[in-house]
Amino acid sequence: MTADSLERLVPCYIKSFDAYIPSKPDPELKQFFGCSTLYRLNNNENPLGPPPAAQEIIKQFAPYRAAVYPSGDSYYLREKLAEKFQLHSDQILVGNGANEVITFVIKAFCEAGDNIVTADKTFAVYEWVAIFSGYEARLVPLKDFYFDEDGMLTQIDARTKILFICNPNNPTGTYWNREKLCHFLDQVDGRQIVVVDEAYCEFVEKEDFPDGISLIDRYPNLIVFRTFSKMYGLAGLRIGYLAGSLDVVNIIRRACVVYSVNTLAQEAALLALDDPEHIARTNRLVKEEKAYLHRELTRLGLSFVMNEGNFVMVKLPISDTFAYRKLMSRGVMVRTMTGFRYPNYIRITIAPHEAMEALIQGLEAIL
Amino acid sequence: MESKTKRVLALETDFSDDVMPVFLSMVEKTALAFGMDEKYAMHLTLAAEEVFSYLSTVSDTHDPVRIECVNGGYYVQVNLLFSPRQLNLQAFNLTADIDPNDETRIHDIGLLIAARLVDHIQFVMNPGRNMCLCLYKEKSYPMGTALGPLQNTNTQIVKIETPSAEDLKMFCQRVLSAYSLDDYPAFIAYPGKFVDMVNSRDYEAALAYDEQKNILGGIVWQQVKGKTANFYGPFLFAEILDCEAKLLEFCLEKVGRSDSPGIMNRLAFAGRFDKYFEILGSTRDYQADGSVHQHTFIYRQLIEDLGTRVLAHPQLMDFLKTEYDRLYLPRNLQASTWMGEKSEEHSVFTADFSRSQVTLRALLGGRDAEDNLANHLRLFAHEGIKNIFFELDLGESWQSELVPALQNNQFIPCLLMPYAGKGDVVLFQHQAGEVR
Repeated sequence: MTADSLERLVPCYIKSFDAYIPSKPDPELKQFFGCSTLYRLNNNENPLGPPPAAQEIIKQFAPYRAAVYPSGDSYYLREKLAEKFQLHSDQILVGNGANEVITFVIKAFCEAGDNIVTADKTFAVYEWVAIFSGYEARLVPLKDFYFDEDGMLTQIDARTKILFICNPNNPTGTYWNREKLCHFLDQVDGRQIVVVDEAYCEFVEKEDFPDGISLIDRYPNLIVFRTFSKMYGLAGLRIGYLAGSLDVVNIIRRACVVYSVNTLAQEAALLALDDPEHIARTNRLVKEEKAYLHRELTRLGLSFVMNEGNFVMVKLPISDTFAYRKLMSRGVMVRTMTGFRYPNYIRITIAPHEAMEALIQGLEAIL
Repeated sequence: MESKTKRVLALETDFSDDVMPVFLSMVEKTALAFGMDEKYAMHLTLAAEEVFSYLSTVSDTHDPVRIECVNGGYYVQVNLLFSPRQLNLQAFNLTADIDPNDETRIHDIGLLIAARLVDHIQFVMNPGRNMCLCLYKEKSYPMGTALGPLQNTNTQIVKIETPSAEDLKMFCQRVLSAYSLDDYPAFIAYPGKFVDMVNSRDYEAALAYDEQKNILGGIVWQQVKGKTANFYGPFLFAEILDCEAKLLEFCLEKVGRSDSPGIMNRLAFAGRFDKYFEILGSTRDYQADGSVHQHTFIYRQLIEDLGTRVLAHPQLMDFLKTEYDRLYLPRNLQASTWMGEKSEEHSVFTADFSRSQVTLRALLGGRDAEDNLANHLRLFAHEGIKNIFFELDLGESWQSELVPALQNNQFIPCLLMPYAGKGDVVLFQHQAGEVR
């Protein structure tokens, strides 16, 4: 194949799209940055890992089972989730991480000329999937770190198919309460699909935080995303799901790749759901370490955005990418926020005290 | 602002003699149709004729060639895509001195003529794939005139947005009045050209406005796919709180989610942007009147640096180690040494002129590199050019062989530009200016 013929095969929207390059594995990073330990504070993972029962089933996984296909539609997990949320199991679709269910939804509803609406400073995958699938992503600026309800509504036109809201928002941790979310859904009035991504919902203990799944009966155009990658500590197994009304999910199922979720992920997720103590334990850690960070960041004179979720955004008086490299040389890995359109901010995952101390010491040394 | 994708007119043919008039007609007519004036269209056509004629002599008649005329808005580019042949690229050296009586090199004169008729000639060689020879010529534009200073400066910033064509022209004219020649890129002096550059999407700009829609300042940036982006400014026409920071953040938010690994400013106002950028170093700009200005290069990464291996000549190791450590850049630095492997006989350098400076880059390494560089330097000395740079791309490991030739010709490494080429680029400055 010549370069010319390859060029002619590629759609314009792929040509202009830039691939996301994930970070290298820890041993490579340690070698490049010359550090012997590495505190990963960049991906909002749960430092406690999966709940104990899930850990146990992972340990016990018999190698011969790797040769057998998993349940193609995560049968038992869907049954369990349906029971938990009082839904029909067909109202749930499980994917290889929540990223995959984002793709399912966009593929199911969008065609050439359509658009999606979301915020400019939020989880990037809604925007990316839309763009590399050939659809327009309309990005509404956040307002004081919050999703802008009016701004999003005014972006809707006849070709708008899906509105994506990250609740609480990654990376700002702000959220729409039940009243605001319902008001938005009332305004949309069933004309578009509204996706509420609740990847971090288990970290929110505020009483007015809405449980999106409980609103599906009232709003059949509402789809809720959840993940096992954050609170449930199964990021390495890649498993997430969506819930929606039966009619909507039946449409999405047509664009859904079956057998994409492995056996171990399904079984670990099934057991993870049965451990409320794991959530409480994690939230205790998050609360304690957020208090520590609040105190220390204030002492350092740094402004920060600390809301819901297991992460904090900090504004630095130097370039975030320079700070990243300096902190990496000290064995602390944070997420730079220039790519989230927050230049000079870093996002820090809440982790055990030792890691938080290493971060503070690192910041003190580099600033 | 109107936005356009680049229009391309293409012809797929071979190197038969009877194709030549069709090809030349295509180049001339499309250049005119794309808005180039007759004189420049003729230059481009003559260059294309020389190149096609040369390629015909080194190709089989039935070898396929694809010819593209591209309307870049402010320039027209002619691309010839063909199978790699044993081209004598040496003729593209600015200093190529070919004896017309030497029948073995008679065809190479044509390439030299072509190189001098256009603004740039670029070769793209993809191993195992086609070779592309690009002739690039910019259109001609009238020079802008400076506008007087902003009248009412007792104002505050209201909005930053991407401007209309009229506002872009006004912005250029304000820059011309408020800043000295050294502080802005040459294209700002041609407002119409700048509008076309933005329209072509090669450049972007954002302006700050007050309530009366007065232009308070602006910033300009340029992204090249996969490479470090460049920005210019912010240019400010009034003392407005936060105007500079807001313009910078607007630009950074725009380029932040792109494939540019970083963004750089080669004409920075030193010390003003410490909050956002790292200082790479500075170059000395020797003026005709004997004075010396310093240009500070500032930079920031837009991505999290993942680290990479760098092969470099032993004579460059100390400089690189110091710079990589200073900038905390994760690099696995390894010495590359010549161990008797066969190398090309002739080197080829391209020369980019901008105002009073010239930047050389290597197209091919060769055993004659030191002499070739010396020839270039003699030519520049004859022309009175004192600001001479060489960009060495560490992403092209063969370029490390050039380091002794550079150092023996009094080129000194002055700064490192991360990911500015295929890999990090070392900027060498020649010490010509120091000689009085």
